[in-house]
Amino acid sequence: MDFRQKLARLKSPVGRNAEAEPTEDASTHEAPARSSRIEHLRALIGEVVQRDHRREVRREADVAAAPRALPWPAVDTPHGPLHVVERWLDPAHHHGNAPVAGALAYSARTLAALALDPSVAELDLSRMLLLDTETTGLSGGTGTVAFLVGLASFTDGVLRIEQLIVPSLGAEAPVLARLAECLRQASCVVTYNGKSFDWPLLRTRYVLSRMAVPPLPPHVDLLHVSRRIWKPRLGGVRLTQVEREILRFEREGDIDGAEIPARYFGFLRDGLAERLLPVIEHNQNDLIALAAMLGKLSAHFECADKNADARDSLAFARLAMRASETARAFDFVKAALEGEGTSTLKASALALLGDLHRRQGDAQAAAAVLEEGLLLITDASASAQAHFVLAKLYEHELSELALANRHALHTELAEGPVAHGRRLGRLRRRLLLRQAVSSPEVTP
Amino acid sequence: MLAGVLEGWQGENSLWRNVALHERLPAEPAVYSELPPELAPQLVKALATRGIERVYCHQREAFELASGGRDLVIATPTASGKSLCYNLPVLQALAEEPQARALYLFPTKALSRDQEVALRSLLQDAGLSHGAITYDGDTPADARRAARDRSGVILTNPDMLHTGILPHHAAWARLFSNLRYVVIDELHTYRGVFGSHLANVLRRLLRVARFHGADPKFIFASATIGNPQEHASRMLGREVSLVDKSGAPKGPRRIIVYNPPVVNAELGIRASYIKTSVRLAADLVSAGVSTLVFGQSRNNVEMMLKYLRERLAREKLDPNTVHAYRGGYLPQERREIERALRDGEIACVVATNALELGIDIGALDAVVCAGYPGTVAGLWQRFGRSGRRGNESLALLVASSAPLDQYFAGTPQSLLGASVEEARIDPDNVEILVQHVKCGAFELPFEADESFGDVPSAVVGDALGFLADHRLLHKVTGANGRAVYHWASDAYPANHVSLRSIGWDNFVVVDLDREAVIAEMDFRSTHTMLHEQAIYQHSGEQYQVEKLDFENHKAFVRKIDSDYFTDAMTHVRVAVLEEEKTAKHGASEQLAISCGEVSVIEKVVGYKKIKFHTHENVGYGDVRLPEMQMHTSSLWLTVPEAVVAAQPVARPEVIDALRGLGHALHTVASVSLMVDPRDLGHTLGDRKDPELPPSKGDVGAPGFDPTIFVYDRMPGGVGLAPRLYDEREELLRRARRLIEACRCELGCPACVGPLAGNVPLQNELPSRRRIAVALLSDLGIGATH
Repeated sequence: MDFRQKLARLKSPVGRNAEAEPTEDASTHEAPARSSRIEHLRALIGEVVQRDHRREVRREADVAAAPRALPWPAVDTPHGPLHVVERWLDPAHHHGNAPVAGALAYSARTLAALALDPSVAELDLSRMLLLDTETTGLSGGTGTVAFLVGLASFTDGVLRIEQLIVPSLGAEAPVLARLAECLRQASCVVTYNGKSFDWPLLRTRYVLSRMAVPPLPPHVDLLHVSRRIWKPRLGGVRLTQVEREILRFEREGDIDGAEIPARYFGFLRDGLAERLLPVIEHNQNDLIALAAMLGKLSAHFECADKNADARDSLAFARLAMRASETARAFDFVKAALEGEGTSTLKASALALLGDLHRRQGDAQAAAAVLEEGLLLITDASASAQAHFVLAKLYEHELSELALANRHALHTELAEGPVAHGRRLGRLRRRLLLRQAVSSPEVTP
Repeated sequence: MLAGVLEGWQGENSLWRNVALHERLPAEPAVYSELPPELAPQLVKALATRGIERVYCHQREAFELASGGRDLVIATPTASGKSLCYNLPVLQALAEEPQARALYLFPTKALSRDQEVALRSLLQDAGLSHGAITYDGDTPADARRAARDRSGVILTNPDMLHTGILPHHAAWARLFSNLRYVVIDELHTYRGVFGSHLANVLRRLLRVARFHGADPKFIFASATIGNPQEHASRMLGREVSLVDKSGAPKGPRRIIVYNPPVVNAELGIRASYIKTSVRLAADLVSAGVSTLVFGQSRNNVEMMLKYLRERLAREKLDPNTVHAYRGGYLPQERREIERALRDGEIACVVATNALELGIDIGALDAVVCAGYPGTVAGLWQRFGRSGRRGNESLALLVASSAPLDQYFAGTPQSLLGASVEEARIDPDNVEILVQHVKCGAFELPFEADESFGDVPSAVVGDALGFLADHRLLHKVTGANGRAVYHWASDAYPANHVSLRSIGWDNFVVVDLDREAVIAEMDFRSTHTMLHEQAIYQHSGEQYQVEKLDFENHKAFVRKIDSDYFTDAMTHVRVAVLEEEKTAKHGASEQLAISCGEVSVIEKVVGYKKIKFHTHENVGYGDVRLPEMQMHTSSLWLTVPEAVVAAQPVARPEVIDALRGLGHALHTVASVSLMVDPRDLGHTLGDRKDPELPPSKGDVGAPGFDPTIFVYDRMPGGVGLAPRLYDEREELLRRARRLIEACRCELGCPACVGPLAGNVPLQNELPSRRRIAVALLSDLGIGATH
């Protein structure tokens, strides 16, 4: 029995829980939908700002193009034709409640603090490059292709979106070359989850195409910032969730991420570029949201607002402290305390304030604040923790042994029975010593 | 010491007369070679610090071949210094080129970590700054990064290479572009399904290495098998040189095969081999002989441990000098046991498998195998653990009542002269090959005229077309007319390909009490071991299967204290798909023997409840599970109706005897092919009407030509059936000899199989055994030419 016959007998090689068969959607393109799609396509391509640049207005695509030809014009490059979708935004464009131009309105130092990356502090943010890819899968291995590389950058304060499309598998070189060029010209790269996903994937694509991996300028991954600031309030920080709750932008008819690979594979099979339109729109929204989010974060960081949600203020306070932006940290803590918040939140804010005071060497202020916070705590272990910090503060920085002892009685939950016992023992000895040496003091 | 114990045994008549074999093997001196002259000075120094000034001849030979750019396999016995055979060339490469890298593969994590420690120590002594890191599921994130970026040697296992490294090879560019050597230890464990998968993983590895510009050489190390060179060459897809003359010294050894006496002649039941093994081992331990005891299963190990300790306690000796050596021990625990053994604190270790032993377990004075481990190779690997330099050592096999044990106990000289089993793989098995072409396409696009290892491009092309038809690959034709197949799915194929099974996905076993997954099981074993109400044994504990969620591949179990275990009853139906060869046999040319492709349908229909220790049958249960179907190759023999009718006994008894003949054929086939009996299956069917299940009732119907099938249990077949066909005449003769020579009365597992429960024992009527022999005579099959 030869190999072919044996093959024919095999069950499907598609694994059980795996590989969803690409959805059959040729039938969903009815005539009426098609014309509105054409409009949409024209809109995407045609949105151009008349400026006196050497940038030409891209001619509108001929959507009735033969199958297998992308409707977007291709630029000739040494690596082959490069298919680009370009879109210019209005300078006043808002994404939800945030201006896109906000990304440029704040200092690099602010961004460096938000990203906890000092190398960003001296950069020329006007040359930032926003990056988001659409891929054929989430696994990130060598079989995953970034078929759409979405880039956005500012020219004279106006955001220009440049989406590079891979027209067929194996033809990634023009896209990768253009990306490398953009990276060279950029001062920094801004992504959402790019550190774990987009960049490692793109690196893999360069290796597989046998092209040198371009050096990456400083990389700011807003997912990490988003987590630090908004996760306490929102619970999750998926891009669309942040977009909806913080920027107050609701996408209409957005394609489900899980469908994106199937769209591309469908396009590869039958050349219907319409399949990709929702993906292109989705990617544009991702890039715009990224710029808007950056502006929003920076704006908030530079100006602590007591009307802001206290949880956000507290998160900013923590971040500012980690970034050694002490003045700002104080501002945010105050805002957190003045805003509406649970007593637990206020207790945490006070604990943070205590930390700040201690770092500034003001142990007295720290103790006062921590005592105040202690009154608000209801949770047993948080309470023990507060007593713990106060016990140490009083003993080592303020030499108030009696007060230290009072707090030390309650630190067991925070430091365990052995350490607790040692602390109490030490304090007792020191108190006795002091009593013996000087005039009798009050001993509890 | 040992001599005293042996004298004692020889003096005990009721014991010594059950010794089937007592052989003395002489000592073998060491054969040394000088250190290779080109060996880097740092390595000479490192060896000197370990007291090594010369190497064994096979270590020198391996070094020369490896540094000369040849792929090689080292097949010297256990404890002959194989590690140095591959470590030395690798370290030499590292010393010569700071950027050089090597990849080591081990079948278990335990072995990887042991070798990592040894290698690091060597690297340090040689002053080489290359690291050695184990990269497996337990490796923490920062160590993984270090492994990718900096480590000179990566140690891993086939599964990790398959799912974690190859599909991410771009991140491993430094490793692959500088890869000089791939070391694969314990090659003999890679046989059957697992071995066939590994061969394909290596095909992918070579592809990826070539992409990154490397051409690594392979060094295989194997325990003694019958065909190391052939096996390694088949595994790699190209010629591999052989190093098999060991220069390591051996002390004088005694081999003893002990066959516990028959205690029930009618049923052929023998005295317990477990209790016998314990008795003999205890004799050794109390006389101060360091002993290693091997059991067939965890249960046996726990039982023997308990009995040994009880016996020692009775003799007022410290029971803690006996220890079990369980798989899953942490490296620290293993080191402790090894050290205690070396220092004499522990006198006896009980284990299930030679492989579980660390490399530093050293050698002991005596090895006791409770039961034949299933293969001659396995037996010699265990025996190889006894024999310190100079002193006399003992290797003792206590036979159980299983067919192969009795076969060798009956013809013990055949054990000594038995060719060691050959390891067999079929890397071109269609199902396996296609899965790996799939994974390979995820790693690198396939060009239409590309070959895959030694698989020709035409075959690869067919596989690619098949995958493209299923939309897993997308074919792109370039301007030059050349086609390339790209991965076109959002899935990660390696996660759905298990290296230990074919075709079907594994099931997971979920402990209901702990709400956690405790094990994984392959599809086929799930049917026999995880059906509802089955008693599932895991890590020495019993669980009952409360629910089997077939759809979602999950078995839900709960811990239970049970005094019985369950044994599944499987119904097998074989249908001939294509007859490839056929011949008539016997003086009257009545027996038709053929081989070819068959469809095998196995269905678990019920289970027996069997009490522990007494092995009484205490009940039955039903099982409702779907059939499992596979295609494979088989040998079959059809007995004409006329011969059946001519027998002087009722038809059902003749059919029963034919079943017995099938059982005997299975046994002799396993021995002649030198395969594990579990690699074959046998059944009685009818080649005319494959839809008819051969139940005892229907079998009497006319028009039923009883057909004995002996088939290859690996889906797709590994080439066993054609070989049986080639040896068919000898097989039948041996089967006859086996049945005739058996000392049981009516039939037993050693010859025609255990008696069917419902055939009444009537001493006047001929037994299954005798009917089988009569049939063979009538078919013209004698015991000799």
